[in-house]
Parts: sequence; C-alpha cells; structure tokens
Amino acid sequence: MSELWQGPLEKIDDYRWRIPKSYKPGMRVDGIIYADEKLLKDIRHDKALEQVANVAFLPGIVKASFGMPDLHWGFGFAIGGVAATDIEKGGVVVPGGIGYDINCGVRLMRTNLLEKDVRPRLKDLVVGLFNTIPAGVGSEGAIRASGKDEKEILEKGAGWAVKKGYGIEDDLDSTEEEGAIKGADPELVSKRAYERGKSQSGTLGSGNHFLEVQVIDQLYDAELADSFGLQLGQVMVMIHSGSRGLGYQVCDDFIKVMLNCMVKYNIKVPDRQLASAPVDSPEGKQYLGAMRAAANYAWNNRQCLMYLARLVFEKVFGQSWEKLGMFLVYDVAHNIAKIEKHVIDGKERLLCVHRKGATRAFGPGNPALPGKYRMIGQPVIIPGDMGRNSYLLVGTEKASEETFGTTCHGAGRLKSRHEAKRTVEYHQLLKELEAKGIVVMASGHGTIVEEAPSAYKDVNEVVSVVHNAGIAKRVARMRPIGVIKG
Amino acid sequence: MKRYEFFGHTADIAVKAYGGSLKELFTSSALAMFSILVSKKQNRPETILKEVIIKKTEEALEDLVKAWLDELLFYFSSQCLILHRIKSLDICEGALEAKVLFETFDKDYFQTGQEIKAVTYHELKVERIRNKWQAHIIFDV
Repeated sequence: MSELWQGPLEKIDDYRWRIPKSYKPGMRVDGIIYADEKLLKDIRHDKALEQVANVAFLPGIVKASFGMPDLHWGFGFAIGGVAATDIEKGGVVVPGGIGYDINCGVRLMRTNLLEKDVRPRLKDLVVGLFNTIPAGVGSEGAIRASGKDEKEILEKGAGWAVKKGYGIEDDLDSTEEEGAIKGADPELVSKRAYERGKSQSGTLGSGNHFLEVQVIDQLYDAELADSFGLQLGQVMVMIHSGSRGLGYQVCDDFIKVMLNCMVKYNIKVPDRQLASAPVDSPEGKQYLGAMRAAANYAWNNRQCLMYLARLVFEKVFGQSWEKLGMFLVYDVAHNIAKIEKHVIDGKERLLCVHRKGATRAFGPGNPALPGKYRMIGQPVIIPGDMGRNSYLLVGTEKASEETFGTTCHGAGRLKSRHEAKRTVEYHQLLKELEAKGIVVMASGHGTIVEEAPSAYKDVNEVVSVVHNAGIAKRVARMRPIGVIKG
Repeated sequence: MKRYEFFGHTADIAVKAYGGSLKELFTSSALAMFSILVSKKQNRPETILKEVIIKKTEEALEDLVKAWLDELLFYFSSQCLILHRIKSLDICEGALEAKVLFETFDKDYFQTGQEIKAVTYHELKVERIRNKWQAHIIFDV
C-alpha cells in the first residue's frame, strides 16, 4: 500500500492522535491512536486507520476505538486495535476483534546464566532447541494428548501440563489468568477445530512465532530490575506462539455464526469481518465459551514449549532447570477478549475488552495480579524482530485510566511479506545476523526472509511511545542471540 | 495467462487468482493457496494418492470460493494432505462438486512455506471482467 490514508487526524499531544467521530456517519466514538509523528507516517501507509474508524461503529463501544503504536492493517480490526463494549448497553463481541490466533501471546523465562556462559555453547543450544521444539508447517507435537486430554486442556489450560509434570505451580502463578481463563466450554468447540488442533499441542507454528534466547542489554529502573531479579548480560528465553489450528478454526466457525447475527440483532458495521453479536446473546455467549477454550489451549501450548526448552538447557548445561534458575517471569495473551470492570464517566461498568495485537497492562494494586506483582504492576512482554530488541515493561495506573489497562504488543509489520521476499536476500540476511552474533534456525528459508528485521517497525520506537505516553513503563531491554522459527 | 499473483498486504498474504471459467478460477485459487503452504523439492518415485469428494453450496460466489478453500485447508491442517490434482470440478448455480486427489506431506519432497490460519472475508471478491473471472483473496498467515 503506497497510498496515504487521507482521513482527518487531530493532534491531542505528542503521543496521541484523534480520528473524530464526525469522520464517518455511524461512528459512535472517536478513534484514538498512540504514536509519534514518525510512527504515524508509517501507520498512514496502509488501511489500519480506516479500520480503527470502522471499529468505532460497534454497538455499545465506549470511550474510543484505540490504536497502539504498532498498529497495522488486519482484517476487520486493525492489529494493535483495542475496543471495549458495554455489556448492559447491548455491547457486542467481535471474533475478528480477537483474531484467528486466539490467545496468541508471549512468555518470558529468566535463567541464572550470563551471556559468557552461553556463548561457547550457543550453537549446540540452538541446534538442540530446533531439534526438540516442533516448528513450521506440518510439524507435530512432541507432547501427545489423548482425546480425553484435549477436553481437559481446553478447561484447565496450562494446569493440564503442570499436572502431567511439564511444569510447576509457580508457572501458573506467573501466567495471565493463571493459565486457564474461567468460563471455557469445550463442548462449543467444533469437531473440525479439535481435528485441526489435535496433533499440534506443543508446536510453535510458523510466521512470526518464535523461540529466542536473549540477553539483557539495558535496564531502565534499578528498583524494578531488582524486584524481577534481573541484571545486565543475563540470559532470558522468550516464546511467542498461540492456539494453533484449534484457535483458527474456532474463530472461522464463529465469524460464520456472527454473519447471520447481523440482521437478527440489527448490527450495522462497514466490514463483514466485523461480524458480531451482543455479548449477552446466545451466540455471543457461545463464542466466548469457545474462545476461552481456545485461549486455554494456547496457554497449555506455551507451557509445553517452555518445558521442552528447559529440557534442552538441562542437556546442554548438564544441570537441572531449577539450578539454572529457569523460572517463568510472566506470560501474556495479546489476542483475546476479556470481561472486565472499568470506570467509564465516573461509573464502574462491565465491559467486553477486545485486545487484538495489544497487551493487558494493569497497573500496581490491581487485584487480578498475582501477589508477587501486585505492588509493581503487571509484567508486559513486548517481542521485537529477530535482529533488534525485545522488552519487559510493567503496566501503569495511567493505562488503567486511559486504555482499559492496555498497551502495545510488538514491533508491528512495516513491509508486506511479499515485499520482504522481493527486497531481502536469504544468505545476505543470515550473514548480517551472524555478524551481530545471532544464530538463527528455521524450517523454511522463506520464513526468515519474510521475518527480516527490515520488514518490521523498530520496536524501540514503539516501546518509547508507550513508555512516554505512560501506558507502560520500561524495565529491561533484551537482544536476541539464538532464534528458532517455523 | 497467469493463474495467480501475490499482492502487498502488511501482515497477511493477498492473492489475485484468474480463470477463463469458474472452474479455472477455483483451480487457480487452490493452487495459489497450496503454493503458500508448500513447494515441491523433488519428484516422488511413488506417490500414494487419496481421493476426496468435496460438495459445497453457497449463494454468493465469494462464499463458495471461501468454502472450497476452507475445505482444502482443513485436509492440509488436520491430516497434512497436499493438493496433488483436481480430478473433476463442477460449479453450477452456487453448488460445487469436486473430486480431489491429495498426497501426503513429506519433508524430503516438500519445502515448507507459510502456515495459513484462515481464508478471510476481508475484501473477498469474485468478479467477471469481460470474459475472464478474477478472485481477490486475503489469507491470514
């Protein structure tokens, strides 16, 4: 897309822009974009801003249709889009506002190792991870779940893996929703979704999903870093994956259901991908039951992937993972809808908050946070591209006030995969990454090229916007040294 | 004539598929989808084929092409079956009936590409321009 979006954009302050609701008849609220001038220029190059305006049509939407600085063109909802609807006022739930990869998310694990401990064995480590963690098209999971197990996974999420010995209770305490969101109904997941998901438990997937070995290269707040037990040079492990074929199918099934709801509930939106139903309708409730089951599948999936990574570290370093200090810092969902209470116009309201490519970022004191993080705020994990950085931040009170406790989710794409393929040469890219000390293994050459750093916005700029706007606070920055991709 | 082309879409993959008839258009769309998923490395000495009959009915052509691709994608993502050949394909007044031959995925013979999450409704369009058919499809990857 080279054509610039020509709609109205009013500057609120250095980091916020408004699409007034007068832009299109039918918009119920303004659009508000978090970005600086530079990022906004990139954002205007695709259809994301039009999508932010379209989301403002949703029945029951409150406050604004938000866009985060990593905003880019999705289908229906832009990626980096946030919208909340008031359930009592006919607020709707939109499967396209969560996305196909339900509970796509990120987890960050610490280790006691420093870069100097890992460097000499980095190749072995990356090869070990690549051989152990199933990734890419057509891969099957190393952790087998029977038909009965599948149902249990959809109810208990990461709790299933922990029960089987693939983790410890503390892992659950360090996961959003403790690794299993309540209200999941496995009976509402179609046979097709089960079939697409059954061999994929414990697989990474392809595209932008990854497992990275990273090193902390910057700390921003000594007190916060101490409370997380982090230091410069420390080795971390980050995992980015979601609900695999099961989640994709749940979304697809319910978009079809919701298309039939548009006339039934008299919902008028400008794009079919915004097909929705009232949260408080049979179809809305069914979708949420199935979506939560898929979300639990994803939490279990990331738990299994982390378990496999711990095994590889044990083998390479000849010590137990506990001795290596491989404890989970936190796991966040960045494609999900949640029923949450927020204050709107001075009154507490029950909302359905859609975060599509956006991360919950609750500030200090929020009762949803585990005891160990209640005083400092929720850990927020922001992955970047494979050549630059990733971040650990914490949620803030300001995010709770402004964006339903939400911040960005990643770097956000800049170039299409098609364009990346045209402009990036595989061997040249590997050379560049190698020169930076990054070892990469992927099941397909194409994936590496499509995921080249130049295809992404600079995550440092994205994170700098959310930090300066006050909707998350920087704690630590990591850079990758080992990358596994599908 | 080109069977399909890829277009720039920031996060997903946009395809334009072409055909002189609806049958050709639906075939091109299927070929485009499988070209995203896998590419052939070398020929197999012996290929075991599985024949599947697909029947779909939808009022709108857009919904019919999505239903067709959804079905093929389902066989790929649940059983790792790759489109080998479309033996027969009939489309008449919103009803599709096809006999499809699949072969199994094997890393020795296929290079893996991108996983497709779904065939989306976003900007989905099937149209007749003069004597040719054209479909615009965005895959979520």
